[in-house]
Amino acid sequence: MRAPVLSPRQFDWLLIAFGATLAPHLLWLPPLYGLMLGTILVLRYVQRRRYVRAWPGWIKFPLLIAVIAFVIAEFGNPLARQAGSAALIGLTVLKLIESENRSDGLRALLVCLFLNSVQFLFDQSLLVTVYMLLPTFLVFIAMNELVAPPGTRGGIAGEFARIGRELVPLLLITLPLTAFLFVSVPRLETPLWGTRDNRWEARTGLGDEMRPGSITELHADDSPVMRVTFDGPAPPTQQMYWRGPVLVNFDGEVWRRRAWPGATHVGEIKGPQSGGPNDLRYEVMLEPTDRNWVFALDVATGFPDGVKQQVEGHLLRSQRVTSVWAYRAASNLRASLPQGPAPSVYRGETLRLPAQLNPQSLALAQSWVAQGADPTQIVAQALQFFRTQGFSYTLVPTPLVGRHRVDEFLFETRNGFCEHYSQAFVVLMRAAGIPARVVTGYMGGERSSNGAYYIVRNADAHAWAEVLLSDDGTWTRIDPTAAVAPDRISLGSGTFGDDSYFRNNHWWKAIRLQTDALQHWFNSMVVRFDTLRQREFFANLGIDPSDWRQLGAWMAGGIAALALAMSLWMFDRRPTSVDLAQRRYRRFLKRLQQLGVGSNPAEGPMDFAERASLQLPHLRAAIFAVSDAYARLRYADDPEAIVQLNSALLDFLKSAKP
Amino acid sequence: MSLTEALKPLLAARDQINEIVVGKKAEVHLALVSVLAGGHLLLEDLPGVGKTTLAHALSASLDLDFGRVQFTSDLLPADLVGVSVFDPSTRRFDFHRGPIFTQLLLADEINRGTPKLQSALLEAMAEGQVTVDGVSHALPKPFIVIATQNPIEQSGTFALPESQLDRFLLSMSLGYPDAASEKALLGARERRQVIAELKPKLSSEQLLALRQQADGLHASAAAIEYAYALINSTRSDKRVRIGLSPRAGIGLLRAAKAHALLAARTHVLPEDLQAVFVAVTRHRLVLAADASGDGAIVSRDLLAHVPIP
Repeated sequence: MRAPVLSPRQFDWLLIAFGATLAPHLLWLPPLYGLMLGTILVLRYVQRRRYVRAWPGWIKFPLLIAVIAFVIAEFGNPLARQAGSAALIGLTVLKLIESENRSDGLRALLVCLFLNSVQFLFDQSLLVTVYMLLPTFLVFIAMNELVAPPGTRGGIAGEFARIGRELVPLLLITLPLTAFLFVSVPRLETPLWGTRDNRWEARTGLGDEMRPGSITELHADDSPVMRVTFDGPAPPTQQMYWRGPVLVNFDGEVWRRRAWPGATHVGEIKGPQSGGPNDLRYEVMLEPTDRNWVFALDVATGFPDGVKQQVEGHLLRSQRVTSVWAYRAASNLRASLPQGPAPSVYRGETLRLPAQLNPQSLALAQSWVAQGADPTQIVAQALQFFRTQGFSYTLVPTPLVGRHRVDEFLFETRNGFCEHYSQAFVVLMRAAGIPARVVTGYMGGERSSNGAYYIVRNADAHAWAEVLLSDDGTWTRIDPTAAVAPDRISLGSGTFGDDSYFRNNHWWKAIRLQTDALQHWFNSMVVRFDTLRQREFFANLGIDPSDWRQLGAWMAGGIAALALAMSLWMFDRRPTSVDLAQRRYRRFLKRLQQLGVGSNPAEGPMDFAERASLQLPHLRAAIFAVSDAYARLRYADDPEAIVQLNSALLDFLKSAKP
Repeated sequence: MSLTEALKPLLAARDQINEIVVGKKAEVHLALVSVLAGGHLLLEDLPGVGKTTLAHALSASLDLDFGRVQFTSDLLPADLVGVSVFDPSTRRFDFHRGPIFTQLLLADEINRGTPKLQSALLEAMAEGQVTVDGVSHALPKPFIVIATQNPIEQSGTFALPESQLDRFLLSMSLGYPDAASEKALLGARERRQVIAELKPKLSSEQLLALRQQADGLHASAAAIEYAYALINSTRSDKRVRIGLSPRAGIGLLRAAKAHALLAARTHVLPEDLQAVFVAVTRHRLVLAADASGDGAIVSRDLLAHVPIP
């Protein structure tokens, strides 16, 4: 005898709950895969509605192969985050194909709950969090629907009343436990998913490389990179140079970080660093970038544990940032970066140019040297060159395709954005014998609606240059883009070089800032609670979370206390012995059902006992023992009868084997 | 004294009645439930199926005074409840009691009486007293009315108003006896003679004590919830124009308690409610104009569909 077959209505609920769970995943699932799963679900629905017969068993195998093949073909490594999630979703759809009875349905719903939490591996924004309440709630409604006895379902209004009465209180009492688990379950230091599927996880944002002329998408991306809250007054936005990767090596096409063996760790400063007393202090909430870069204003003097400052001045974290991460930093905006401990090695790198490329540029730079100008004058001449020779700033530059790309830019196309200008400037400086490098990062930021924090977006990505004006001096920041388009620096990316209607619409801007404020609030309240905050929280309680005994005791104690409170609450709500009686009695009915005696909800317990005894005369005594005890419990309010019910039920189950 | 022992005389009375009214065990049982619950009983049936015999046998076995009034359209309320007569010797009005002053009143063909007469009976049934010329006279205890009406013959009758029907706790029809019982009946001695020889099995004091016990029986929250579900189902059913009143609900629980007591139980089971439900509701349900069947059919259908909580 199997569990009861799902009614059409119950099956509909199952599909509704799963559909709501699936919907947000469609945002990242490959469209073809989503289409395939959707088709399977629709076919299943039609089959369930129109035909009595279930799908033949053999059809599941080819479908299983199809799902797995698709996942491997599309994602490669089947164990990585996206591939694993996609496979799980596919398998859940297959589970729905074979879900004919209640226990199958409940299992599928449990997987739906898990899929709901999987969604947070991809997106932790407030919008998604709020949306996830819907599928979660729908799953609970479907569960409630599946376990309800038949014939107890009313119309829509009755349904809502029932949800309000049964489901909402049940979910509400789990909230304290959820909150406790949220603060107490140890956060993982390293991301849950060690393997990364490069093909699917490349996020737009600053990379480790720069290829001027090949991409412009960065500027079109409005999504926030970080939100910054300053302790004191914020500096003017045109002074906000958020230092990212410093790029030194140039092969004529691509700029890369310095990479020479043996010198990687030279001059590194390890966090935590507290910064000077007069430094600017702030907290950064960094969106997941999936990279190790940590952004801070120049020159960073304070940064947290687990972060190191390389000799170029940029910050690197030991782990990739895979979820929203909050850190405190300090900066001295008036300082400039020293050369570091191994200037001789580094100097050579910052002067190197690819051989036999860009002869015109080299000639131009050498002509300035020939005029006998000192480095400061050469810088001024280069900037003057940009200013006067018809250069323009644009986000849609003419592509550079030849071998001599810098020449092409400086003497032919003469339009581009920060990457073009910083690259050309650094090449000119190196050609003139001045050590120079490209610094990438972000520039400026948008003030939030209430002015409490600044939003730095992907569109704020910027590249500038640094030069060494004397052998024993410090690095000086030169922003050649400012020479061409001063507004880009003073007004920020949000208002410059983009005439899209929405971007400049006052209302749209206000709405965007308001929703961002909500997101920021959510991040500060919920997402910000990471390993570090958790450690602080435990330290305040006097618990050492690295000692598993202390942590275990705290968890066990907390859960026990909450479970006690919850059970007291439930105990208070209704006499548990009656609930227990109902459960025991249902068990009794179930076994009789297995023996072929179906119960009728409109039949009294003693009448039913009589009818069952007529069909199963050898069990008469056992049946009546259970029924009598049950009737005494439920209708005579005799709490002692639970003991009899328990033993009578055990006797009955023992003697009545299906 | 245990409950079983206290019940013994009543069960003996039941057996005795069953010997007179043959083949009607369920109906006799319901009649006793009605008596035990302190309610009045409405018998809807054709003439000659044993209504009077049942009433007679009840009164004889339970040691109740028996009175009988044949309702006709010219019967006046005074003929039923009594009249004040001036007594010249004492120079005072004396109240001459009517036939209603009895413990068990058989009101035969109640729907032939005028509305005025019916309402006089109504007051007596509801209050346990009659009022004549502004003076109230208490009726004896217990006071039980068994009314009969012929459901077929409708000419010259006054249909009982709903308010009055609501005063009858239970209603039932006896119907023809089964073949064996009827043959036995034909071969047996004259009923009247047999009834005259019956011995009472319990006193009215004993009956009143049992009534009290029935009233105090335990109805658990689960039983009350089921009773409510049953009552409420009559109010939302499309076939029913007017569902059960709260008074009917109270009556249902009272009858169920009496039914439980007769089974020597101290608590009400769903089965008790089911056993009396049709008898409680069949005369009270006012069906919609387009509904087929009668109250009893609808009641049975509801019983089969309302789940026990």
